[in-house]
Amino acid sequence: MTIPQQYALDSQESVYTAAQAIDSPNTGSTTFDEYLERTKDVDPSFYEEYDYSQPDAPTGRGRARAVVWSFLDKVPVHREPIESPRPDLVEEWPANGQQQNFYRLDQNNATEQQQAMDIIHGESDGPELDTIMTTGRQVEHQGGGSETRSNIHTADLQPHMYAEITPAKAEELGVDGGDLVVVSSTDRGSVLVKARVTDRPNDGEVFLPFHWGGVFKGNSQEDKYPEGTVPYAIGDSANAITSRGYDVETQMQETKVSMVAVRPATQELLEELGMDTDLEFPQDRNDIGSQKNFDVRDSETVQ
Amino acid sequence: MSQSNKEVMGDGVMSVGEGTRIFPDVGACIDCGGCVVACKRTWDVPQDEQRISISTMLEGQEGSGMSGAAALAQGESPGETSIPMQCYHCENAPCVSVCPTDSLIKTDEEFVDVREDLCVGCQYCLSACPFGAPQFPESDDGAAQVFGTGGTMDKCTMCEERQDIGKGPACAEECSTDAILVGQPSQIADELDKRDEGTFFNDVAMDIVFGEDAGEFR
Repeated sequence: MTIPQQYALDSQESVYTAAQAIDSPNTGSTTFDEYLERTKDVDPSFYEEYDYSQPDAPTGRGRARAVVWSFLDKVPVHREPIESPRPDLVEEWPANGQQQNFYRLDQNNATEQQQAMDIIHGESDGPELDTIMTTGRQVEHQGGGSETRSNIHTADLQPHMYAEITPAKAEELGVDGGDLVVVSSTDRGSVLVKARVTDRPNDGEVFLPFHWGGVFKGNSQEDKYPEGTVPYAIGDSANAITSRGYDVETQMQETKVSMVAVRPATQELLEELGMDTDLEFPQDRNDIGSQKNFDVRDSETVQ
Repeated sequence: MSQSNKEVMGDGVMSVGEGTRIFPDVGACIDCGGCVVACKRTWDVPQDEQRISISTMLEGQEGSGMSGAAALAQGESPGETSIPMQCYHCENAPCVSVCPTDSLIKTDEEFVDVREDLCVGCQYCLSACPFGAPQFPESDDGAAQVFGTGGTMDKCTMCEERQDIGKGPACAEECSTDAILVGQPSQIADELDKRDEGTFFNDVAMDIVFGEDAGEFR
């Protein structure tokens, strides 16, 4: 191994000590040391500010410094999400514009962003979209969840779709963990999910897992499954309301930032949105996952 | 896992057979439930019964940045911590001491075993166990019919049949972060030491679980 490789793999060494080692080599072979002395082009003082050992990422100490000439952003820059809580940042870092025949599709993130920002921050008669929704995984489920929600053990461990909110937010909404809440997007409708109260998110953020189906926008689809194939656990789909943004290079959809409103599921609101007012979950009916606690304020040790 | 990480963290299952102990590395547990599912799948445990279950305390709380055991020792909050709870097959097993019918015994392999045909379902062991290991599935047959106390006791078997053919317990083999350590007490202590992780349990609990071998962990 070369000296930089050796030092990179040792978590006790730093970039600075590696530069020093190259500057005054001690490889055990005088001939090689002399060769290194003659050919070296490293000035240790240049690396002095990097004199801290660092725990290694499994992939080593590589850094992305590439310039990619064929990308829209030749070096990585920040772009505000399509739906942002900060109009000033959208002005400074707007999404990229028109793309033609991109993976055989046309897309224009800048237009989508403008339309979304108009709804979020302009005058509208809808609810105030003041909460950032992030979607992601639950460790117990996989993908769309059709397999893990149809498996009694994993369904039992993580029995419900939820919106994870902070105790302060729950207080503000007047909901307890396990109560139903409506999460509404700009122009893609709303979903009906349980509230889960923990200290993990910020007050201005809500987290929704994406492994759920069997309820769509507040309407149970249970009766549409063929006989005997209803999963043990069903819930509304977070992907129904994520933002319209797509990455300009990879077409990866934007699932981490959407602006939403979280409201308690009152009878009146459910009727207004055309949602089931008597939504029933097979997991509740069959007593699956009933040990799961949805409110950290109950201060129980959870399972 | 890269080579350098491998040097810090060994496999969870280090040895099996006589005198083998099972113990959690609380710092490594990520509350994924893999052990729970592996146990139920392997032994056909019903959905509402837990031979192993993960208890999560201080859910969503940030810790002081130290390892959980170090934080506790200094009186700081360990932050969100998940502990795989099961039968640890204690050296000084309180359940064995309180069992009125000698249904609970230490086997030759030094595992704590329940002889179901002797259990009367009195649930003394449930009160005696510091770790919530004994399970009492509802039942209305056998001894339960005579004493009217619900089912007989069921708990972790240490996967003795698997160990007989050289395999580790299902939970430990399944654990993706090697948080369930299986081996001789000295091996478990060494592994925790290598990971720079403490035991999380207090001295009293450690004396119950490991008896004289608790000294290995200090």
